[in-house]
Amino acid sequence: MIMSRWALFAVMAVAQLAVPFSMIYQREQILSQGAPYKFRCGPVDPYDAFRGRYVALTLLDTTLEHWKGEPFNGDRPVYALLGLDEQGFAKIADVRYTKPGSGDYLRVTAYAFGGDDISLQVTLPFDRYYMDEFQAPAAEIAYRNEARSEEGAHVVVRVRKGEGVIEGLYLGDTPIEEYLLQEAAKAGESP
Amino acid sequence: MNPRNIVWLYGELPRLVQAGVIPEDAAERIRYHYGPVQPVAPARLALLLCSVLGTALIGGGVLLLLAHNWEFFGRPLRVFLSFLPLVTGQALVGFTLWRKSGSAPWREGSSILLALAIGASIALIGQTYHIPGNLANFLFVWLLLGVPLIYLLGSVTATLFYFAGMLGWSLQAQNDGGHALWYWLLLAAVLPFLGNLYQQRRNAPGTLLLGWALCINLCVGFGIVLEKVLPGLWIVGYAALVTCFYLLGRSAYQDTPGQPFTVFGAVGTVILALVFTFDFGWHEIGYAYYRTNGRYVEWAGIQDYVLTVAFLAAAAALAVRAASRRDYGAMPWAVFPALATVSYVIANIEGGEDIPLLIFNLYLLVLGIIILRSGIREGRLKVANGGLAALALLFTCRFFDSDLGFVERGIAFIVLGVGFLGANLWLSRKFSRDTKEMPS
Repeated sequence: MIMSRWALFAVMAVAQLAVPFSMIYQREQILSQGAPYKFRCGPVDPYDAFRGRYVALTLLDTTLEHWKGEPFNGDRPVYALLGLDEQGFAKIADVRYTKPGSGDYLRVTAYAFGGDDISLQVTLPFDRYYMDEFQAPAAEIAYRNEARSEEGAHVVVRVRKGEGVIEGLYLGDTPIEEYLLQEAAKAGESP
Repeated sequence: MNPRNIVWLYGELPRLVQAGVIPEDAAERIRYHYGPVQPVAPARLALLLCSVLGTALIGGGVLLLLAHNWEFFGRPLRVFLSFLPLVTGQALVGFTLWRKSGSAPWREGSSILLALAIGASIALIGQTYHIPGNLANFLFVWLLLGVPLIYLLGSVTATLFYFAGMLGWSLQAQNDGGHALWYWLLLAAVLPFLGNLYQQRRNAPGTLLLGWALCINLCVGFGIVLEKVLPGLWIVGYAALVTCFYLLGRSAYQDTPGQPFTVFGAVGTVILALVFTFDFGWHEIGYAYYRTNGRYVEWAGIQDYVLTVAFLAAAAALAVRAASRRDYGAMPWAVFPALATVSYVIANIEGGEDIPLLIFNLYLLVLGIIILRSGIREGRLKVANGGLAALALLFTCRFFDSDLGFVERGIAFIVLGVGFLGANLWLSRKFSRDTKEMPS
């Protein structure tokens, strides 16, 4: 009876450690070996009571117009093949039911809509950037200002085997954390 | 017998002996029969509650401190700190198993700390790697990882937390447009633990508390988990569920005051029967109104049929068992799901929507009278009041339905209220008179 309790404890402890460990391992592999892609984005800022304060990301360029491919209806994951546009930002080159044999791709959901001229709305698997809860509102304000500028805001995502991990959020070419520090320093210096 | 009842009985024995009601040797035989008993001391219960609250607050405070400084930590440190609550919780549980397994405050406190740490660890890693939100998946993994903890320490608090998590997960899963079929798997995972508690410590406060939690969980969870593709099937399902509660309580927990099953069953039956006397539940139900839009997962709707049949079968089996034990007092309650099923079928027929209203008005009237009569016959004022309350509710609701004016309704309510109070007074006097008249 005592041995079975300790055996159950061991199994429980291993299982409880294995889940976060596998989450970390998978994402560290992607961050170290994945290809970097820059996705343009615009901001919102809700509060998720369960998992802390974050800046909700609205990724741009996720609607493919004049879609002639499969009539995806969002009922299961599909695969978005990635490419680069003229400015070096990520774009969705194609969407398929099956994994591409080559190239970088992400597992996404896609929904075709429209009458005669069909468009495809792709939902990418990144919707938040976690920040300190007091900085997140300031980040949103910074976003709103930067989004109007030419450089705008973007996230850098490392992509590997259909999965992606956000490496950083940038306003222009500056990481948002650094941007906010600079703004805070400017505010401190102003009379 | 509940330990509190035994303590009360032991307190009464000297008085009974002195009054000549029972001889001294009969009192001794009673003491020998029940043996020594140690009721839960209020101080120990307070210590237990403080232990649970204290560890939960400490755990929450540590997480908040970490969260405040989070942006200053690099990723490796964040990863290390994400494991810290989990490892600490596991160490505490291990220590409890090793040295303090007999201490309820240690078992409850360490288990709730580890239960919270599991979720905190996953959430912190989610924050570190900006993992996209899927609350339902997060809750599901959290629940699964917490199941062994319940068996390891026999923790009531961890089980209550688990029950709450089950409801949270199923609500979120349905809200996301999916299904919540795994609710039954989650419930099945803790049923052996609950069954074991029932066998070993049937009347213990912790077991009874989990009984209440189970009833609440099933009542709420059943409604969330149903896909509801076939409108109105909940009528039959819920009728069968509350009848199962009642009959189970009547057979398995007959002598235990404060047990939840009979209470849930009886109150649930009266409330449901009352709801069924209104017409809003009987319109647009049945296959003609089958739901197929995107929010409903059609194949998951099979669960609705399976569960309804399962609960009906369980209620029927319990009713047969009650009849075989000649517990005919259970029969008025046992017919409730049958009436609900017949009414559901009739309401599906064009023009038949009003017949169930008549059926359940009659049923509630008869049931109220039976409960009142039973309370009077057995000398139980609470039961008699329950019967009166059921009848008063029925009459009140019908008056709200009617086209009577304010004056008529006012007079009717006054008459009802006077009748209720008068009946109560008469019953109280009758019970105390009957007690005094008992032969010595």
